[in-house]
Amino acid sequence: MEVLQFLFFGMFALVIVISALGAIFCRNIIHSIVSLVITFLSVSGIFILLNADFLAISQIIIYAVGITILLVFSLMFTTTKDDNKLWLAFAPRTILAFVVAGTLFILLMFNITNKFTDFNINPKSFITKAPKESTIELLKKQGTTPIIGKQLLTKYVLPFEILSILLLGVIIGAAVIAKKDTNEKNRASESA
Amino acid sequence: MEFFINNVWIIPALPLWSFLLILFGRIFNVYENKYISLALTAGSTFIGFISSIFILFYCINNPETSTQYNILWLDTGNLKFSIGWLVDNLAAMMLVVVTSISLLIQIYSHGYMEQDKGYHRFFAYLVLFNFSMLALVLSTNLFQTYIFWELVGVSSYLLIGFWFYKPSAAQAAKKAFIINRIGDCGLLVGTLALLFYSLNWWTSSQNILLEFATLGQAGSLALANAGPVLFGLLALGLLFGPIAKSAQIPLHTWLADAMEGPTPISALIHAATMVAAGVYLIARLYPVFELSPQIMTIMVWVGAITAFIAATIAITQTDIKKCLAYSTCSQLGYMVLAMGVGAYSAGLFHLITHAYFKAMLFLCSGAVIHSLADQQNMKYMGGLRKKIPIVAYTYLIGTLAIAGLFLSGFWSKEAILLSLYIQGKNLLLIIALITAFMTAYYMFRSYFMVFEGEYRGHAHFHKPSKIMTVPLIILAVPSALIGFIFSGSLKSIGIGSFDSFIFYGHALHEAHVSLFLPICSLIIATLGFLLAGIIYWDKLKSLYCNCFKLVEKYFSPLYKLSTNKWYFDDFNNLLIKYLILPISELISIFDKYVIDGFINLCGISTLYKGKAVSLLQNGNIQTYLVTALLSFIAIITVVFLIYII
Amino acid sequence: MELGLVHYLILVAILFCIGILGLIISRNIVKILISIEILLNAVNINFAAFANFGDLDEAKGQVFAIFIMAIAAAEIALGLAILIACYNNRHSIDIEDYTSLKS
Repeated sequence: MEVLQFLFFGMFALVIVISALGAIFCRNIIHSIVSLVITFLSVSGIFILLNADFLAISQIIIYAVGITILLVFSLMFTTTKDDNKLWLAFAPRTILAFVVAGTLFILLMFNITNKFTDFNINPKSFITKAPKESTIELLKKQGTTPIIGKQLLTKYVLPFEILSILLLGVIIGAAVIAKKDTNEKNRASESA
Repeated sequence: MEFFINNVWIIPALPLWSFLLILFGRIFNVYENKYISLALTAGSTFIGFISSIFILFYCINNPETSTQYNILWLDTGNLKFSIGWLVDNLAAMMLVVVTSISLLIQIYSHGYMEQDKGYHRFFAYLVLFNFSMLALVLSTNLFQTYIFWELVGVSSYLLIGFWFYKPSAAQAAKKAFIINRIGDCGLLVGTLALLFYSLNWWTSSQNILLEFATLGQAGSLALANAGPVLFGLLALGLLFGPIAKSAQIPLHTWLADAMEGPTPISALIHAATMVAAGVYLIARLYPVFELSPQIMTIMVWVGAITAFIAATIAITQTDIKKCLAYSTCSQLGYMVLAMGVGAYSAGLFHLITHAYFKAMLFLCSGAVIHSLADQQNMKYMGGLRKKIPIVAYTYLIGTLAIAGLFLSGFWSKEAILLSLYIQGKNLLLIIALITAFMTAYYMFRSYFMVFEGEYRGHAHFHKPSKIMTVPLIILAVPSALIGFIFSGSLKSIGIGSFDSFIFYGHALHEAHVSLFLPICSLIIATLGFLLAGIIYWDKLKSLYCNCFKLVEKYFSPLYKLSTNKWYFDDFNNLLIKYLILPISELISIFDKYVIDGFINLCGISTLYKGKAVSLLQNGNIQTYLVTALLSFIAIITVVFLIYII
Repeated sequence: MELGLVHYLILVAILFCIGILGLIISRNIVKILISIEILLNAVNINFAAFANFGDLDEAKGQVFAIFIMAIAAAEIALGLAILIACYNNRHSIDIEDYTSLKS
């Protein structure tokens, strides 16, 4: 079981890293979107490994389907022929980007591999806290969905409602922003 | 009478008021009519003249009084600078001289400048000069004197450069201003040094700071504090002010160039009043100068050499105004010489008589120049006596006066020679007599060249207007008579001699009456007249056309020396070229590469730092992101490092 | 060797740094949005991992991951709307052309 978990984790992690790199470094934007979809799917696999089945499903629905479709639709509106030329930024900034990302990674790794004991950030202390028996029973029967639902409608009901208002606002806002300015259109036609 | 004494500030205040009115003439509609400027200027001077007459009579009736009034001007704790007005015999006399000459010259200027575009500007400058000169005369202390001394210099600068579009006039104005700066620098340093060495006395006593009335005590205290050498340097610095202002050697070169200004200005400022301010200041600072015998000696020799050299230069000048300018220089040398040997009254007496006749001579030359359409060269004049007899006769009166033939110059020059004779300074006496001879010679020379003989020029002649000739006639009266009036001969009808009215220490009494000197000087003046007549007057000898060649032939080196003004200008130019310019270039190199370099380094480094930082501000949002992340990483790293260490 | 929190965190660190890298080096605005999605995914994994290894009883991390997903959806929708609006104005999706912040 342990070995199988490790194997799956390794596989998913490898796919995630490769496909994420592909999403960034592909010259063709469609290729990078496809690569991104692969990343999303692999992340949902990681979620399953983490006992987060609801998240995994949500990941596929929201990311791998919704957002990807949005991206593709926006590409349909915006892409021109010479977009493939837009690959990497100019040299100084690319070098700087590698420096920044590398330094950040080193800092994170220092943190993660527990070099800074003074900060009392000890990941192992989290692991020692074992889940209750009832939770394990629940997980085996119904997954994490009941837990999350309970949390969302009790403890986190206020953020949940605010989030719904936010989403409504975003829908209206996105529609307004993306809509072609009719006044401008009229003006353009007049001038033409 | 008391009213005029107590309100003497009106005399300089009215010209200032007129100046402001003309300066802002557009607001007050002054520029609509030329007579408004004239009326403002001459009116203010006229009121000043009337007041001055009353003040003079008051002072003659009460010779021992001196009134002064002070207003606290700058209170800097210990030092309390005041301005105010001081009326004593000397100031009263100077007030009358300045206002009367100014009044006549202002009226004359209307005729002279009527066609000029800058008519109102001219009168504004003129009245500004009037204000500063009168305030200088009325100063109570050395600081106030310094202020108005500078202001007088500025007016002189403005008026010399009145026709600033002529390059020569602009150059002359600059030259006068810069040479006067040298003197003013000395005066300022001397003033401050005097204040420094007598500071305790001024602060502990209740006297007005540096007031003239107690300058003698302060001077002796400064002598005790500073020692004779330093005190001598201090007094030399003070003497430099009068040397530059009164055009004494070696700072005399500006005066001849100053003749580029309009002729009324030459008469008023560069002959009668402003250049005499140097002598006036010597008179005011006499208590200080007297403490240092070396300075008195220097003063004597500066005066004597100036008198002599300027007279020799005047002999060969063909420009009528330059001739008169060097004559002025020479006569000022006489005055300084007189002050130096202790003939205080005689020097000031000569100042006053000279002011009248030299103003008149210049006005005559102005009339001649005006009537000959700006022709100044005497070679192209001649025979003008028949055309403008009034000018010719007034010029003759002036010539007689300055030559010392019976008219006013005779009396004042006589007083100077007498004091030299009494003190037994024979060398100086001989120099003075030779100068007197040369004075008579060159003045008659100019008279003959301009007014006698045949007309040699080509310019179209037109008569000067009455407004120009009337002031000449009026000025001729004091030019002829003032020496006689104040000579002491009229004691019986209540007019005392000049030296019983203005004196230093105690009044000189007629100790010595000798007929030797007057006769001697009369003979010498007559000799000068005869020599000039022989060479230049066709009635005596019609050798005019050969005279220059004759002189050039037999006295070539001397003649050259004289026409080239003893090479003073060339010497100055060489001095500037080979000494001052290299030094200033060295300094400028230091300035350019060290000081400027440092400043530029600051500027450039800031510029490049700014440019380096502005690379971040390129509008690209990712650059901002990188910057923010780098800063974040830096902060985190520093914090971690602090915790690790 | 047991599969622990550290392994997930290392994966998250790698993914996050890839996201940062993409965010900076991309010239295409769509790619920048893609990079943001990668970043948010990394964070989600992080939340889920901590929820799994420390707090499975309440699963707070998973709840936050849900929130993040919702906000990510909102963000991508708005971002693309802005992209379309910009494209209508300038006919370019090159980030180098959008430098009006400069002045």
